[in-house]
Amino acid sequence: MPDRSAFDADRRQFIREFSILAGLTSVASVAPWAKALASEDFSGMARNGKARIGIIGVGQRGRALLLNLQQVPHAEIVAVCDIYPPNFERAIALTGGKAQAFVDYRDMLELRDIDAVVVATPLHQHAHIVIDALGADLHVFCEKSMARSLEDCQRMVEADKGSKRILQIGHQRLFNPVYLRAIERARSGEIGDITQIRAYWHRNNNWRRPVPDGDSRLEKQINWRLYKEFSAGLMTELASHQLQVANWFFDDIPSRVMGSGSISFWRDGREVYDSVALIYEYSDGRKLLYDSMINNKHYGLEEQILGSLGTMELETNRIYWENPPPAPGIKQLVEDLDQGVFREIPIGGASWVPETAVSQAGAAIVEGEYSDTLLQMEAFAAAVLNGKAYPGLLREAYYATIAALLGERAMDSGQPVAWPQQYRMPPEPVV
Amino acid sequence: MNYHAQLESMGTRFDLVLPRLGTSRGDALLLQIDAELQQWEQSLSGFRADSAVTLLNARLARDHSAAVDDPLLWQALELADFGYTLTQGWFNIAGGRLYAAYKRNEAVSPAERQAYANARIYLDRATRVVSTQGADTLLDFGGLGKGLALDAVKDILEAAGVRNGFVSFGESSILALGHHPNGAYWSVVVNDPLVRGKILDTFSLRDRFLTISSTVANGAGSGGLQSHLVDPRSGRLIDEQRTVTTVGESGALGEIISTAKLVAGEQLSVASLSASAADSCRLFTHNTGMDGSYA
Repeated sequence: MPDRSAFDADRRQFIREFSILAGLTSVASVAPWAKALASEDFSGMARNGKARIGIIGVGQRGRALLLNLQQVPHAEIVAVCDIYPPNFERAIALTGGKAQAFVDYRDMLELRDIDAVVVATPLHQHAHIVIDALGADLHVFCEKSMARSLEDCQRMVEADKGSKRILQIGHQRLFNPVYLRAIERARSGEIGDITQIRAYWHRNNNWRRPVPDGDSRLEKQINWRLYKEFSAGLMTELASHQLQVANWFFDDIPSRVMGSGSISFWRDGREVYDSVALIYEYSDGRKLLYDSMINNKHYGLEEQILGSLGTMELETNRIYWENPPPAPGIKQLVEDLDQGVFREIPIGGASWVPETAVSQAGAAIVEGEYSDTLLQMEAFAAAVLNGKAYPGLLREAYYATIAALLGERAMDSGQPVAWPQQYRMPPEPVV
Repeated sequence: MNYHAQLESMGTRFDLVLPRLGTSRGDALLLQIDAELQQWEQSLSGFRADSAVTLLNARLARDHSAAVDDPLLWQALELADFGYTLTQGWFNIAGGRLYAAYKRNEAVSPAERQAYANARIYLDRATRVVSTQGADTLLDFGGLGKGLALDAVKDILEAAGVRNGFVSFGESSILALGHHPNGAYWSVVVNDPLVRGKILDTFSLRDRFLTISSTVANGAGSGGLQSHLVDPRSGRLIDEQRTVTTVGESGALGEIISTAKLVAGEQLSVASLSASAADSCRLFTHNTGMDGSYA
């Protein structure tokens, strides 16, 4: 049985954070989905039925989504699909044989008792599967990035508009209270003017998955992330998460991007870069500096929001101030001196911490830990039952993938690439 | 015109308040003070990989004995050794290994506790060599570095002809130099860390250092312990909610006495120590309601 207490604790904390956020008018514009989510009552949702969901692609990420969905009370996994036999067998085992199993996703789409599908296949397959699923009148959750090409991203958005179904893309940071609180604090001016964001994702491995018996026919099927036909490598598999964050915090999309990519360490026949460095330019001279590599992991991953008054590091949930506020007692003393007042200087108080006070370690943006993937899947299942998409999510995902693919184009060409006008979405009304 | 500036130093905030002093003169003093604080941090910070004490700890772990070239580190070692004797062993910098283990929530065996109880440093002043007893000794100066730095700040201010000033190091080590321009002293109240609105202690300070040490965690009524203070005689964790206030003529000595009293509780009578050790030292034990136990 799944651990209900952990789920409930997450959920309670999630609701607490969201109810606070939902009360802030600034949140409606920066995270309209959060405001909509905060008004939901999921506790009794399962009594009125469960969202019946099939999972297409049960590899590493698909398995994680499956396990998360199994913890959602108002969701039921009714079908699984994978063309790779080990994944196919594992999916059957994970669902205890209760879900119908398919090798061809088109057969799954013909099921009658299914409401939605989760697409977690290799990137190049996202577009046609998503479009087919929407065409079959099913709601769709698709893992990021959206698609392998700019044109496919646009086709997916158009297919969504032409259907009465939901298309949600997996960007779990949009459901993370740390990020939601951080953007609310950033918009309030707490860290001043944000003119630069630095983001990076560093790993130290060859990014390969084992191919059984060294069967070369399976190489591209298993290691699809390494081949340009199927993936833009680091850009679509890692960077798109952080590009979404940068767009979100700048409340903008880049006007152009320049970059350099290379295969500089893992020269093993792969086609995608193992080292990338890019500059995304936004309006008013604002910039995102981005890099990713897979032969050094010392710095890990981070998004650093650099403001004139402070810095936020989102992955590690920290905020730092350029000029820490003085202790209340010292502040009072300075004011008293200016006014010629002689009175007691209060040291400490109920929230006073002797010895530590403000440290260079900064402070937490939000206390607590969250499983944002779990909350994301819970929200998707709720959206399916409500038959209504949460506003703003698709726009964030679309722009993140477009930015990733334009970055790839800039690196491939060695030239700056401007954001094409046709890849701008019309503004959504604020809910 | 009054001067106020803040720095981040030694893991906390440092506030410098100098009445009736202009910005240019204040900024010049601040630069000098910042340089002094950085020197102390570079000598005594256990959080810096290249600090003098970190390098010393590495040598002691290997050889149990090492020459000390860094003059500030040697000054701190001499004072720590004096503090050990003065407080009858209640102030002991040699227990860092045990402190670190408690901080990491690691299990500590009775043998390890006993090893700490026996640990101490020995100084050969002629050769400036420090040696340790016990193979697992790690030196941790705790708040002593701030006290030493604050003493040095007082010297800088006095040498510059500054007569009045209020200097706070994380609100736990305070220098009240001279007096408030509108009063005969600096009036300070220390609030109870657990009870909002309750005053724990009050002071009228003139040319004195106030040191405040506590085991109490952040947050009203949280009841948790802020730090993992260790009884140097038994190696056991201090699990009582205590706060100590100490007033005296030296910031460094104030740190020694404050820390010793915090871990020793009623077992240490500060009044019985050297007359110049402290003007006052008061222990407040929060969870029993006992207070004002001037030893």
